[in-house]
Amino acid sequence: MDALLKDIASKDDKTLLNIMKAADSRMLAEFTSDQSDPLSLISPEKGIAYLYILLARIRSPNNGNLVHHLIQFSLFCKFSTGVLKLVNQDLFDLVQILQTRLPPDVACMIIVNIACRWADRKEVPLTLASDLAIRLCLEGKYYRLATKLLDLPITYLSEDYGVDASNFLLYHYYGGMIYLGLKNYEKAFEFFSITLYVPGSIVSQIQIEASKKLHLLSLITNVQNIFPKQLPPGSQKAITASVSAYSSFVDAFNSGSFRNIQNAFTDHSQTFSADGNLGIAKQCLDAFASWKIMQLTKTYITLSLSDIERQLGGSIEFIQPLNIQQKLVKMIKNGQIYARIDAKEKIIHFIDQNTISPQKELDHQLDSIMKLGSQIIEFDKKVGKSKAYLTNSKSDYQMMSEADEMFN
Amino acid sequence: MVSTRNEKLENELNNYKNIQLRESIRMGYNDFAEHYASIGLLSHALKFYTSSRDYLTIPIHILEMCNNIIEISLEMDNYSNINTFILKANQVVASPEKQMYMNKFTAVSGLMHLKNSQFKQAALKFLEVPFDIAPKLWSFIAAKDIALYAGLTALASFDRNDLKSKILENQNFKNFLELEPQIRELIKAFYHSKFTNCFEIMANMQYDLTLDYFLSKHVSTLYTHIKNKAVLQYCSPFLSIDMHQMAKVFDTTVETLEEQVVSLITDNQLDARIDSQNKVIRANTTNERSQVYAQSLQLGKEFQQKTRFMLLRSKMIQSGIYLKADRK
Repeated sequence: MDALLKDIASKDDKTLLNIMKAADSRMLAEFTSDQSDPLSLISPEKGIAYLYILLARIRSPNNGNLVHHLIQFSLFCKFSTGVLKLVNQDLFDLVQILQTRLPPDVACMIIVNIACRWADRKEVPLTLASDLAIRLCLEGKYYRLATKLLDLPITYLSEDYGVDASNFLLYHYYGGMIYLGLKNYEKAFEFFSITLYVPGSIVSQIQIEASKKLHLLSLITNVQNIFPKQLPPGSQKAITASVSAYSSFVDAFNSGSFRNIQNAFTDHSQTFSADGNLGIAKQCLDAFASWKIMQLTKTYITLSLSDIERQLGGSIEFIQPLNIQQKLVKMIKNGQIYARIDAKEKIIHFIDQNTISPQKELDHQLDSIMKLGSQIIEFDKKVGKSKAYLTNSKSDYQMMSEADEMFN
Repeated sequence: MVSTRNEKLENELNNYKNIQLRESIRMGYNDFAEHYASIGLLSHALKFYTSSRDYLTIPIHILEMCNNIIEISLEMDNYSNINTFILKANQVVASPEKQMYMNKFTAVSGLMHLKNSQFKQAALKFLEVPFDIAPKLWSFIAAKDIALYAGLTALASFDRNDLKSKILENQNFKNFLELEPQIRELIKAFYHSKFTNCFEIMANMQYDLTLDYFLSKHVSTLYTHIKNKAVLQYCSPFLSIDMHQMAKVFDTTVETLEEQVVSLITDNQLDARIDSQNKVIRANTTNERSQVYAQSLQLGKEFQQKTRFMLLRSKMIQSGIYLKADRK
């Protein structure tokens, strides 16, 4: 072990990786000759050495308490781009062992941090650890923790990381569920939507489940069309056939009639419940009442609370257990309406929206669009250089030259 | 008696057919059609007028045939037929007779638009009908009907400037209006924003209008349109309006007026909001700059999201990550 520690300091990454992979796991689990813990002697930034020593220690029967070292590793480990692909499987093995050995909260925290280490570079790849981390967070209801990873949008996909379409679908489906738990419906909608962009001529059950949630979320986020143009017509047909209950609920919603909505909800509540979507469906009912109140802000400047109740008609039931005043206070707090309530006179004053020009927001958006533009140019260049593209374009070019020769 | 007449006409037609006189055969068919029309068998009449098509010799016959078929079709409420025969008549070589018939058919086109609740197009068509054609119009659409239909559809669909230029300053239409003074007064009252007077005339006319064959189905829609336009016209110059005062002008209750104003605001026809507590309508002072900012931000957001998804999809295709059927 003493000799190995000297090598760690002097060798380059690839040589060190070979040494660590070839080293005996019993030796890696040992302490130094003066009984010091090697993990305390090397920096977690030396990712390769730290990883293999951790793996050996965690697999050995007398491993002691490694939580401190695992946290250090998860927060500070560093791998160069080429090496990360080579240690990918071992890193995932570590993650899987942690999942079974540590208490769920600690395991979640460490695994999310490790998954973020993969993402901590120019590209954010999808790895096997990504969907595992999000699933664990979902099971343990550690929603805020999961957003640390989810807030880094995936930009790199490669089979080198051992992922396939199902990992991609699961990651985004679980991500959507996390945002649903946080009541961030726009983000949830975005995550469920991505699942429909996966190429392929068959339909995954995950896409169908995501579509069910998308139908309901479209009512809350006020989005008209949930199916992207890129979705093959056959797939869209298959998905539509599987979500008929949800489509009819959306239709009832669009009719704007409280009675139609209530009837559709009663008719399909069993389906919603069986699919685990009853909660979102109830949120849709609340969203309908909110939408009706938001419409009133366009029509009225002042309105008494009793008049609002009258205007809501039957849909007042949808805001229960809140009363109208509590509902209005909640909407004002969420920024859905701009208003002040005169509690004494029971009157609401709708005020104009803040009209300060959102210069910063516009600049920020232009910035990200430009970044996106450069990503597209980069990707276009990569495609232009790819073997498949060159082979195809070469054969096209050959065909054209042959045709030219024939005419000449 | 009917069967005797039938037999007589049938014998005559057969004789004409035997001697192969085209004009006589055409006359025979027309006599038969007129007979059926007079006893109410309109489908039979239409059949005989249509059969006469094969024996037309000069352009005027084509126009007459089109005129006959359009008349019967109007009575039968068969508007698809009418359009076909107006087009057919239009193909005839130009002549004074053709002009006369085409002017008659313009009124029919107006009726067709009215039937489809296309009030503006209907008004424009009725206004094209020249007054000198009035005595030659059909029994079921007299010159005063043209004034009535054009007046009401124009009130429901024209803006104030159009009312002035196309109705009140239209020399040709003034002649029609002289035949229906109530409509003339109604349009003038509306144009000069004398809404109390305007609604009074409308209320007086309503019962008669519901008995009109072509107009009865549209009376309530036309009245709603006219009343909505009146509200819009009344509100247009004001920043704020007292609803109590406005209700008096419109001869209605504040509650009914509020409902009407709410529906206009909801349909984006009126850019205002209601101060329900003080019963005041206040015009919105829109900040277009902030609206443009909000729209740009929303568009930018949608564009970014879709582009990011598309890029991700392209990367998936490039890496060979796509949905495959499970062979198990």
